[in-house]
Amino acid sequence: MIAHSEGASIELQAGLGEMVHAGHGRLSIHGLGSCIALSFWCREPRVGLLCHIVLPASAAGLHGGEPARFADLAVPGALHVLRRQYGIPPSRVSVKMTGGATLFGGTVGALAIGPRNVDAVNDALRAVGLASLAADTGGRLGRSVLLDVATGDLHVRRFGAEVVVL
Amino acid sequence: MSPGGMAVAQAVSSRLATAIDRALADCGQAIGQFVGLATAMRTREVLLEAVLRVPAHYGDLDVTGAAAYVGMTGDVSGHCLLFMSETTAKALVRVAEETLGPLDETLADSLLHEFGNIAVSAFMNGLASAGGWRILPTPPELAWTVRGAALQSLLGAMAVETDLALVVAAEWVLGGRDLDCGVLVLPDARGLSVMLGA
Repeated sequence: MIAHSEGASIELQAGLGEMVHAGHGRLSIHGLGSCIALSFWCREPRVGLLCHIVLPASAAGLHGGEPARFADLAVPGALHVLRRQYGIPPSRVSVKMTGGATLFGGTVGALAIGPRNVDAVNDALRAVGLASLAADTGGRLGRSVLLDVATGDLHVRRFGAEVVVL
Repeated sequence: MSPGGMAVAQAVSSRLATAIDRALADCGQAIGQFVGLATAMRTREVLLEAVLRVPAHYGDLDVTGAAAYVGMTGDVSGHCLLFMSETTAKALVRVAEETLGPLDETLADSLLHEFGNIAVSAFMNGLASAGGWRILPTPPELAWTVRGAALQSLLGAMAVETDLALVVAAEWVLGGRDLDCGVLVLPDARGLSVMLGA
């Protein structure tokens, strides 16, 4: 599901695998573990887009109806929305990301998706000629994220640690 | 319940629901023995839900607290998570302090780790016994985090191979007081098939 709004004070939340975008207000993700919050922001026209990426790569057999479920589809999908809906080319967006933690299960095995998500997002960005301008990824921290569309600041509230602004 | 959730098919839900009821009852009993207070855990809902929509069943995702995780292997493989809010965790520590005396942060963490271990293990043993399955737990892990991050880390692992999850939401009453503590059972595709075929 892609949600968008023109309201000045509205906060749109991106659930698992969702992408939200707006010309005003704030975009957020509450409770981020191994997933990635990937933000795209353009100064003029002022637009923010936030992806809640769950997995590194699309896989056969899963319906993948959510636009940001997979890193390899979320990045081109986000750029497509920015261009089609707002006329913004990739060269005018700044990209930031956070998340990719490993809360349980150590650094290998089924639960160690966080670092793979980080690598997959970087690969997907590189494939379209982009790179993350700022990042706060990894560790064993849960995070909550808020993108201020007015400024492009990505506020990352890290449980058990200080807030950082990317 | 989110609009997208569908109840487990009636033909299998009564057996599965009975197994889950018993597992939660065993969990409540074990908690009661551990803290020395009358305790009850009851099923609030059991349903099949799209993996990515599971968080909608667990309230405020920004609530901080303690997450006890145990992996399941054997006949029913997958994940089991018990999350208690910080308020609930502090209430438990206060109950323990009444008999043990003041606990510093390290001892309080150790107590909560043991509590999570006992609660999740009792639940899984009860589930295995009631369902007639062999379920082997992995060593327990405790993480202080936000509810959404704990849920999402397990759901991400689930989403690699399946679109469907079994949601078990529970109510927990400790010493006559409702507490914010939830159990999430996430059998993987194979485990879910075994449970639904019960």
